Order: sequence, then C-alpha cells, then structure tokens
Amino acid sequence: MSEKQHIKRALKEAELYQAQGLVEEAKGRYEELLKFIGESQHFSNHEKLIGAVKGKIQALDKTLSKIEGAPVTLELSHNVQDLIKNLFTFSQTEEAAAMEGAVALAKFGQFERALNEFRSLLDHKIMPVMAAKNIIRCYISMNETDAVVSEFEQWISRELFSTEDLQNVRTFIKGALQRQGIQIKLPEVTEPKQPGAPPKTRKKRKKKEEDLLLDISGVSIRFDMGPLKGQTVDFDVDFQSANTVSIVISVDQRELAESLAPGTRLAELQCYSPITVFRSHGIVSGKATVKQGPRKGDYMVDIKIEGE
Amino acid sequence: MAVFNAKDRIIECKLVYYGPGRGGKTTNLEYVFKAFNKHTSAEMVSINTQGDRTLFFDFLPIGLGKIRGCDVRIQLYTVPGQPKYRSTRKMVLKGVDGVVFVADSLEIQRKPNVESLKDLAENLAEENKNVFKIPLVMQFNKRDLGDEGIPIMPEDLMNRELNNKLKAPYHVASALKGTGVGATLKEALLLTLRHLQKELEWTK
Repeated sequence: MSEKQHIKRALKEAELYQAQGLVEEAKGRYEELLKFIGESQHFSNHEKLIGAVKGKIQALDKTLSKIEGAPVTLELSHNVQDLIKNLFTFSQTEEAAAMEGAVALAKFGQFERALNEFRSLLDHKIMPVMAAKNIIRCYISMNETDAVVSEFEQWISRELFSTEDLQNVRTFIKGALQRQGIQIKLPEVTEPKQPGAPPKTRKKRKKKEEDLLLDISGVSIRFDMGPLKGQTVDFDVDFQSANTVSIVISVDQRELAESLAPGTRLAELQCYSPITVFRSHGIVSGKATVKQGPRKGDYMVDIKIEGE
Repeated sequence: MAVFNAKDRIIECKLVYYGPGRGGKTTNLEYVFKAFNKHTSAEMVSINTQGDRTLFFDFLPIGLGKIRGCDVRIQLYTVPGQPKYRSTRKMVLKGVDGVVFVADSLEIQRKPNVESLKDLAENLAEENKNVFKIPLVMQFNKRDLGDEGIPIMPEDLMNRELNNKLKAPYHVASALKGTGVGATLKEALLLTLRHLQKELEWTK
C-alpha cells in the first residue's frame, strides 16, 4: 500500500469511528496518522496535512470534553420517573413495592423525587429505618453532607424512631460518611427522659415490618478455591447496609482482593455480631477502589450475606 | 422475572440487550420498533445523553399475541454499554429472562466485547443467574462496515473468542440496515419462552 493510500485509509477509518460515536478510537487513529505524516516529510502539502489532522484532533477533544462533562444523571420527566418506578418494582406487597420504587428512582439518580418518596414512607412509618438510610444515601450522592446532619437532627427531635433505631441510623451515617472520607460530628443519641416514648406497641410493629438483621461486626471467610484455597481470613466489617457488609482490603493485599471478585460465591462465612456468631454463605456483590480519605487506593468489597 | 397470570392467561417476560458501548443495542431496538410496529404496544422510551449514548436504558414493550392460548407480552430493554454505568446495568438486569449480547464487529472493539461479556457474567451471578444457563443469543453487529474497507473481525474469530464456551446461537447483523435484527430477536424469544415453559409451564 502506498503512503497516499495509507493516509486515505486511515482518514476513512477515523471518520467512520467518529460517525459510530467511537470518539476516542477516532482520535487514536488521527494521532497515529499524525505520527505517520510527521515521519514522512517528503509530501508537498506536508504542513497542510499536519494542520488538517491536528484540527480534526482538536475537534474530537472538544467532543470528548462535552461527553465527559455531560451530566451523569438527568432530571427526568415525571412520566419517565413513574415508568422507572413501575418497571423496577418487583415486590407483591404494597409497602415493599413503594420502597423498591423509591430505591429505583434513587439508583437512577432521580434524587429529588426519591427523597420525597422516602420522606413519605417515613411519615407513614413504613420501613422507617430503611427509608432513613436511603434518605442519607441520596444526600451523600448529591454531595449534600450538611443536609445529612440537619435531617438527622430533625429525626432526633421528632421522635420518629426508638433510641435503638436512632443509634442504628447514626452508625450507618458515620460509616457512610467515613467511606466518603468525610468526618462530621453527629449529634449523640440519648435515652428519652420518659421511657414510655415511643410506645412499645409501635416499636414491636415496626420491628416486624423491617428485616430483623443483626449488626455484623466481623466476618471470617474460608476460601475454597483460588490461590488462597484452604485459608481462612478474618475481616472487620466497615459498613453494613441490610444484609450486605463492606470490608476494606489494603492495596498491598492484591491477591486477597483478587480472590474476592464480584460474583464470587463464598460457601463458608462466619459472621460475628455483638450477640452471636453464626455460619452463613454469601456472594461478593461489588468491589470498588476507595476514592478519598485515609484508605484511598484500598479495595472496598461488598459481601451479600445470604442466610444462616 | 417472568410473570405468569394463569387466570387471565398472560405471560410477561423481560429480554435485555447487552454489549459494549456504541455496539448497536439501541439501534436494534429502534429497528424493532419501526419494523414490527404492529406488535409494539407503546412508544419506545429512550434516555440518552451527549452523542446519543444511552444513559439509563431503552425500553420497548411488544406483544406477540396469543401463543397456545396465552397472551405473550415482552419487555425489551437495553443497558448503557459504557463501563462506568455498571450499577445501572445491574439494575436493568434485575429479573431478566433472556439476553441478547450485541457484539461489535469492529476490530478496535475486540477488547470491549470481551470485557462486556465478562461484566454480563458477573452481573448475572449477582442476580443468582448463570450466563451458561440463561437463554442467550449472540449478535455480531456492524458486519456491513467490512464492505467499506474498515477492519472488522472475521465471524469465526468472534465466535471463538466470545462464544467458545457459551456455545450460544449467534447471528450476524447490521442493525442500522435491519439485517439480522429480526432473526436475533426471534431466536432469543424462542429460547426464552421455551425456558419459561419448563419453569412456569405457561402453555398448559
């Protein structure tokens, strides 16, 4: 293939990649071409060619920055939000479906509407602890940490929760903020002066509605495959959300982190809670790198505990 | 998760188009919407952003009419292909009954194809589903670009690389022109409905 043909072909490829929306690939092809032209200085229109290709690269850079700068989430129309709620709700009971719908909105970045729905659930005392935790998740996703504190202060003053539940929510908030590398002083939860409030009956009903999950402070994992086969490794639980616990693995323990890839089944788990130790099994449901704070660069692994 | 209403004889199931970003998943659905409009019961919902990239998902409900006395309704979805939207893909995969994996034939998309397939297997595992067991059809899209002198991967290479272990049925396609789109969907529906027949016995 002659040099001229090579240039023509490269230009055609780059243009097609661009038309396909493969902007980085198009840019890469133009850059290769620029290098090729730079090394073959005998073209009569050498400077003009270089200028033209550089112009293409600049235009692609603009497109790329537009794409990268595009909002990760968009505020969708009410109808589309309703569709999301409808499509991503699978529970049969009305209360669970309402919670699922609100969670779906939050997961699709529709935080304002999700917050309204979680607040409504809270007001109606439907799975209040879960609703509260999800309100916190929304605020953290929106980078509104001040709102986290003020919302928590309101919950304390409104006596929406029992002391135990408030402690639970407080621990959750601390863990969630810690994961973001944020240190904020949260108001302490104290026992109410009148032990009668909130009424016992309400507490009992509420406990029945929400999943009774133990707080898990640590897990032992016995590996039954891979390079760590036969070994048992203990972890402190950093964070817990419902039946998913998060553990942090140092960036130096790469082999260990690699053994816990998302989707890995953990047949032998031992879970430690303040009141009991139980055997369980689970699945690695997520792995991410800690982006901020003192543990920056370490691995955060989520494990879904699937039962006793 | 398919829903079978035995009383009213209605079965509703979910088919997800998966694959790397810019591979043609949305184009598949757009073609289905245009070409099979007598089966579509509502508008196609598409939420995209700069450069027509799918941000959340595309959604198209279609009705197949009565099959063995049962009203068959299908929900077609696409996922956003870019790696950063993993959590959205997981969400869309919830309750999936069948998958169409749209692989991009362009040579430069070789690695993104493999990575997307791995991502699919991992996300299915989190849903307690197995990529080897779920009804799955492969589509090798953008075959027409080879005619324009653009480097594309040979069909057998793609099949070896992506489908060697899965051994899923596959179709070559050009979603933009509509070639292979109908055949892919038909096969995916057939596999999914057969699979659901074993699970739910909806034709009895």
